[in-house]
Amino acid sequence: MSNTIKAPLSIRLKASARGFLAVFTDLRYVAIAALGILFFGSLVIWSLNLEFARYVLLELPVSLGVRLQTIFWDPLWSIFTTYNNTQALGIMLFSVLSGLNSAMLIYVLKRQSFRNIPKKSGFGGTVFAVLAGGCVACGTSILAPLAATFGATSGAFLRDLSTMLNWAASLLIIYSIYKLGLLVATMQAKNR
Amino acid sequence: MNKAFIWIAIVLGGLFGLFMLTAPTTEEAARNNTPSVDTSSPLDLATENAAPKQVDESTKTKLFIGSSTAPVTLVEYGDFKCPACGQFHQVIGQELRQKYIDTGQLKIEFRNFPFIGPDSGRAARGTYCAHNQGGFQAYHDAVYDYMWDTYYASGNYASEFEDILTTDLLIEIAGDSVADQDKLRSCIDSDDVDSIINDDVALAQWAGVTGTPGFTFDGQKINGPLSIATLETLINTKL
Repeated sequence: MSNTIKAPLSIRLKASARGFLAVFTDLRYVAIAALGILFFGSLVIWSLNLEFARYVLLELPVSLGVRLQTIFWDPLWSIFTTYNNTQALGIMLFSVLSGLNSAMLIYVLKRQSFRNIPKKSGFGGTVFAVLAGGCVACGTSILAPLAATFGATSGAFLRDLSTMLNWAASLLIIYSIYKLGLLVATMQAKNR
Repeated sequence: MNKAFIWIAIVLGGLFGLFMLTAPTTEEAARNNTPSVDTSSPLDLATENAAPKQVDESTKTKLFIGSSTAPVTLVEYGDFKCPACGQFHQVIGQELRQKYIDTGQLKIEFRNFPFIGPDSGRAARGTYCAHNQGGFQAYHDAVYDYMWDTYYASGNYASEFEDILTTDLLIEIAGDSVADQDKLRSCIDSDDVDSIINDDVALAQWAGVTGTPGFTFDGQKINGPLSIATLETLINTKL
């Protein structure tokens, strides 16, 4: 990406923040971010229960509206009663950041070709968070079979690994938002 | 612009497809997702990568929270040392009791899945020992309440890996929930109920439950806690 602003970090952070605000003054992107939050939050929470999610979506004898509510709304709405505060905050942080990142990515893609978007655009963060699974306090995650292959069977180890991945995911996405904000700021500067 | 949206739709669709298609079968889960078993546990729990034994659920001793005649059953796999189980008991479990269990619509069948430490196994023994004296539910509530009030409510999760629940403490916690405390003590210190607990663990493994709290409802496996709204939706489909 040849059009990155080369300036001191403080200037780049301010430019990135301006780019961020430019995206979210458009309410359509706020709505896209909100949908992204529901999508990514659900993805993490349901990652441990793929079979059950499939059952809810395809077989549970309720209306389609209730099925969608059960998958995308109920787990996030009651996240602080279902999980402990640390877990719930980790999942919420990841979901909000992923939602914002997705909206910014779409904003950029509407104005630039796919080749011009930053290389680190949040995919790695999403993979990390899904691997971490939604249930880091349960002594399990979808990492369990993989970890067991390497002889790591301690519940404490898996929980620590899951927690670490969850927070690493959020850090990666923060970096992605920063880079996208810079790109938006650069695009706006060129359009002036 | 349209191409970009098509690519995003393809990626999201792919993620969703992966989400739906990669779930292992129940048998694969039973064989591969063997939980973390603490080998210092007093119980002879199933070893890693071994196929769990077959258990006849119809003849197995069952531990119920609520009336055994309630029409809907939620099976819970729990470890008394697990903080998430404690939170489930304190928050969602209490809501279920008020709305469904106390009204005779739902029963929770509790199965032990003691994998955190030696005292997990000791506390698990206590469930069947208390059941033999008609005091399972009171014992279950008392042990979860003790761990929550003393450790987890204040965020002291490190205690999960300390050997806290000694036989003496379990007797003290059980208090009046059992009529004969000496009988409870000798039962917890013996291996009298270990085969039933191993049946619980085998059933968890066959169900594909990989941690606690884990659940099965109408044949569906659920790992980790569910929101009360989701549980209500499930239960209401059976009422």
